[in-house]
Amino acid sequence: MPQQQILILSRQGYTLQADGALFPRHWLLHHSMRDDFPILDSIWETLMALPADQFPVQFRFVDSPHPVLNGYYHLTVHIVPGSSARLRLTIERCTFEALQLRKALQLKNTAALYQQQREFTFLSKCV
Amino acid sequence: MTSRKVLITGSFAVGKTSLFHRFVYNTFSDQYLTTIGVKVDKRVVDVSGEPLSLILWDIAGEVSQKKVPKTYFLGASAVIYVFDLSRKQTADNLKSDLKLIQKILPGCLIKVVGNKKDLVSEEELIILERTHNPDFLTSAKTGENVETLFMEIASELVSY
Repeated sequence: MPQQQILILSRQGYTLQADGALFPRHWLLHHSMRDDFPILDSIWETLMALPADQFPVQFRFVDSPHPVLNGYYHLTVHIVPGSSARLRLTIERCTFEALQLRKALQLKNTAALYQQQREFTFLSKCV
Repeated sequence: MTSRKVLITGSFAVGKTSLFHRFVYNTFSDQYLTTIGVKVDKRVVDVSGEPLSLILWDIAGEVSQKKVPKTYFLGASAVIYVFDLSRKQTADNLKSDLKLIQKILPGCLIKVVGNKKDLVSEEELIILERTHNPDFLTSAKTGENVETLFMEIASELVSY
């Protein structure tokens, strides 16, 4: 299973250079990453206007960020040195790590939820 | 097409994912499954005959907004702050959280939503409304007010 892909993207979100194998090479030629990743689409203008010192921008544990990417991925956006109009997008698969984390959080949150619900019921009855 | 980012935030298990699913896919599940990281999806709505793409960010719940990664707020046009009407603790940080969000996103549209309306009585609702002054009372389970919430946000964002 390919684990990572690094893409150099143009201002319009098209792939200028690719390393890795999450996406087929021929497919990358015809698709704008901006259009296909809702997460990128929603912040694209902001990313383009972001001062260089505020990069990299990282989003950890993004759930199914793209129609062909199931599972969880870390997305990191860097600005390409010497070219403010180009971005380097790193997509790293992290599904196993995500499921472990979710399992631990599920236990913690369910216990806290149960406790808070008990308190609410108890207080309601007291009033 | 114009698109706008809408961030859904609040404490854990308040129903953020349920609101997201109800609005985007018109589905609901009673099973609680913790969200980790972020899930992004969109729905195109019609505002006065013009299409608007609402891109929703459903993020992991945090007891305090101080713990939410700042990058999640990047480029957001609106924030939905959700608390659980049946768990008063989920509104404990409401004031300080709203202050923080306003500081990170000055001028951003913020809607406070009391969710799980189906779990509380009318009497309790009156008290909760008076205490927390939410913009909307919703039930992702029954769908009550969910469409209204997002459509009002869409309308306000168009005229923003």
